This record gives sequence, structure tokens and C-alpha cells, in this order.
Amino acid sequence: MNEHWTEKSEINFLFRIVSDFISQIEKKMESLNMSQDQLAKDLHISKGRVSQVLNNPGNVSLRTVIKLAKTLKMKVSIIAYDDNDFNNINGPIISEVFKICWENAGKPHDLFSVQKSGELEQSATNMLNFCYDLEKGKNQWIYQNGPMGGAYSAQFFPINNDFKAFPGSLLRVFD
Amino acid sequence: MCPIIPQYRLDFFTCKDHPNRCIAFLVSSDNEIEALSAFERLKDNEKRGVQTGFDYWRDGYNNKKRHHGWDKSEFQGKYCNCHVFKGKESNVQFRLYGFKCHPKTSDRSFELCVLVNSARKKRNESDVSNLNNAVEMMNNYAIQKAISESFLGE
Repeated sequence: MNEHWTEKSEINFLFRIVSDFISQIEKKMESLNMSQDQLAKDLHISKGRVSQVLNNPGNVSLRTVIKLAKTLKMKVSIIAYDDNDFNNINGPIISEVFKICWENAGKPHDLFSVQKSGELEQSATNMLNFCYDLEKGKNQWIYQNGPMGGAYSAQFFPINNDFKAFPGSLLRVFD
Repeated sequence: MCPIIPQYRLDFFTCKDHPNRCIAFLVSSDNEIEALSAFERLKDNEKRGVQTGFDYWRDGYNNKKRHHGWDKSEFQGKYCNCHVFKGKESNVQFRLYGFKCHPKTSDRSFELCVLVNSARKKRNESDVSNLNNAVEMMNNYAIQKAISESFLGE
């Protein structure tokens, strides 16, 4: 099996992961309609240096990474993970994957919030299983209060035309 | 004298066991197919940039700075199976062009991008001659056969 190109050297690996970061920075600049000129001004560096940083990710220090993120009102985390790809066949996981997962989890700020979001997800799964059980069997009116209140039940969506789950912890099965 | 019929084979750059996508260079005695030799001649950083684009496409990350395709609204849909990967060194831009296909009979959603030719340029617009060449290669029976043979039983 061929190894991923980032396995060939640390510089390759560095280039790839900083490229991911630069992509996020460029996306943010686009959303703010910010030019490279403006970024250079905010960073107190020359436009040439900005261009160099954005176009040569292999030559960017961690300090510059932090400066760039801060200028765009963002933060940076360094994440180590084990994806069972011991020989690095697939290369690093794109940073955007971690960002989207974090956003989908409700942007938890600490481990208490992570635990809570896990509980909500479990409750939602339980509720959904309950829905499927009902769907299989009887046609009847059922009202079920969600154990966690209305917050999570809004995540439900109609399973089919005859079966609907509404926000506000009310679950209804139509005959 | 018999004309020399070019032979074709795929040189896989990313793992073909990936669940969604993979990238391969088309290799041939045909001089028009030069994506691999052009890629191998790239300077280190330019090559890294192109490889980053490979990763992004394979993993479903749309990033026009690194790679993009053409949709049905452009060029009357003529190039919607084409794809380009981008690199840049100083002010000169590098492009690797290819076509996309679905070679696995057991999984029609699986996508392969076959890289065929390259270009160096100073402007951003794509030269349609590269794209026309990619389309021509895509419709070439011998190339289609080489692709099928690379995915026999898959």
C-alpha cells in the first residue's frame, strides 16, 4: 500500500496542515469581504508578506498562525488525534472536518458542554427509536413529554407523511 | 508499415480503496498525455500545493484555489466531467487537467479522476484546448478499456 505524500517528510505534513488553516483564513476573509491589503494593514506587515504567507503555507510559523487568526477574530487549537491510520495511508484529516463537527455539536466551550450535548444526542436517539417503534405498531394519539424539554425535540423532522414530531416536546401519531 | 497504437495504463496517486474518490495519472507513449511527467518536474512547494488539491478533492472539500470542475451552465456543459488541479510558483500558475468517471461496477458513486495533461500560464482562465483534449481522452475506447481493467471485479 502506498503511503500518503505527507508521510514522506515533515515539511510535507506541515505544508498540508497549514494549507488547511490558510483555506479557513481565506474563507473568513471572503465572508468579511476583506482584501489582502486590509489584512496586511491590520497585521502591520507588507502586502508582499501577506501574499507570501497565504501562498507558501510551508513557511508559516505558529506565531504567525495565531496572529492571522486573531486579526480575523478567530481562535486556533492544535488537535492531536488517532484515526487508526497508523501508516498514514490517507493523510491528515482536513481541519474543516473538525470545525464542522464542533459546530454541529453546538460549539461546546468546555467538557461540561460536550457531556450535555452528548446527553441531548442520546435523548434524541431514544426519542427517534421510540418513534420508529410506534410507527411499526398502533395507530393512535400519543403525547410524549421530552425528558430534556423542548430544546432538542426541535431537531426532529417528519419521518413520513403520516407521522410527525413537533418542536416543543410534543410527539403526535396520526391515525 | 503498421501504425504504432499507443498503450495506456493508470498510475494511481491516491489509494483506489478509498470509499469515495481516487486520483490516477494516465500514462502512455502518446506525447499528448504528459500530466505525470509535468507533475514530477514540479518544484517541491508547487508539488505540495497540487497534492493538497488532490487531498481536498478526494475528501470532498471544495476549494477553488486548489481545484475545481465545470458545471452544466459553463461551456454548454461540455466540460462537466473535466477537473483541474492548481499550483502556483511565483507568478506562474500550473494546471493539471483530467476527466472524471465512475469505474467501479459495484459502486457507481465511486469517482475516479484521470489526469491527462498540464499547462503553465499567467492568466486565470482555462485554455479550452486542454479541456478538449481531456474530453477526447475520456471518450477514447482504449483508455476506457485501460480504466476498466484497472478496476476489474470492483
